[in-house]
Amino acid sequence: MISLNSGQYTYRIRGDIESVEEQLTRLYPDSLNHEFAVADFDIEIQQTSLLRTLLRPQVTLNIEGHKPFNPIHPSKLLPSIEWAMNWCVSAYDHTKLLIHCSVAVNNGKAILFPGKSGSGKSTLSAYLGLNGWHLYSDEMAIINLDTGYVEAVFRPASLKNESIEIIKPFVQASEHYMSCTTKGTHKGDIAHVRTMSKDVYDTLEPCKIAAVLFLNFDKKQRFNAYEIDKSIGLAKVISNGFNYSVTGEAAFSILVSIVNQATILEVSYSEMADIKELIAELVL
Amino acid sequence: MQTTDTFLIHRLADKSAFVVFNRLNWCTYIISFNQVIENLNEGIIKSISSKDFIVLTAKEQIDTLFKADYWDTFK
Repeated sequence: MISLNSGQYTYRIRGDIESVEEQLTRLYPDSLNHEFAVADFDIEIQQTSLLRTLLRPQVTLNIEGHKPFNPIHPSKLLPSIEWAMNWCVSAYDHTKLLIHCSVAVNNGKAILFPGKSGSGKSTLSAYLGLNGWHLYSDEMAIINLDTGYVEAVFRPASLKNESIEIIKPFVQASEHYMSCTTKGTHKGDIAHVRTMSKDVYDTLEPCKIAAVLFLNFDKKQRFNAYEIDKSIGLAKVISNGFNYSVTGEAAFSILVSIVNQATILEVSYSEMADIKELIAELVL
Repeated sequence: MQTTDTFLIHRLADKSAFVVFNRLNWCTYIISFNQVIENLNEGIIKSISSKDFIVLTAKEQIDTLFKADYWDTFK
């Protein structure tokens, strides 16, 4: 059993974790321990059956008594543990507003990158995290319902397929680490990248949201960025909300306030360098 | 912003829409400003013309639409 502290949440991970323990230790330095700790969420790795174990081993993740994911080969455990941690937060934490997006912060100002899978949001936020920005979250914005400020979690970015090779050259500093690639998951090849040390994470403060960028990565498209109506921005942010429907009036009010204050852009890009300049201007 | 037992209503800063949260059913409605103007031009609300409506402040616009029971459409 290990306890994993991601800053905002503590997870207890039980079962046979030997195959992923070293990777987890390197992705979460100073955040794992083997002693009993009070945890927010419980994740148990379970063998499917004895016959299966002998013929074609599979494991399932029992998360807080639920099994939301299909069984997997033990070699694909690391991404599944990461997805399980996301699932725990999005399914249970309704004290915060959770928006499906990545969050990068610079100069005390946050930019949200909501977007469909393949829009390039994780690639871009990992790139920023490895180049002087702080990656507050790769998967969801955790927004305080009283202040509207976005809070940081100590979690790595999750990279898929070509993104892994794009990001690899930027993993250089001692506080950076890229995990081994897990091949052939249902989302393709997956690797995780840590962009900061726990010491740096511990200094991060909740931040005001300065901009919301809806990304569209397309190799054939020229760089194009334009401001969209706040009404369209609000509708799109709501549609990316994990728990908007259960957080009610508080979420409505805080989102209206965020959308009113933030710059909201639709951005098409094919080169990281093009978008980097635009983003830097938004947090001046 | 205007608030009642049932509704919480804002006009967005860029004036592109009114947004309504209905406390009874927890639904959110986004009503484009153009839609409201169109409704005024169609004569749905007799008490004010679209020309006079445009020059009002956000609060006055919301109040005017309250008086005309316009928001009840979103109950």
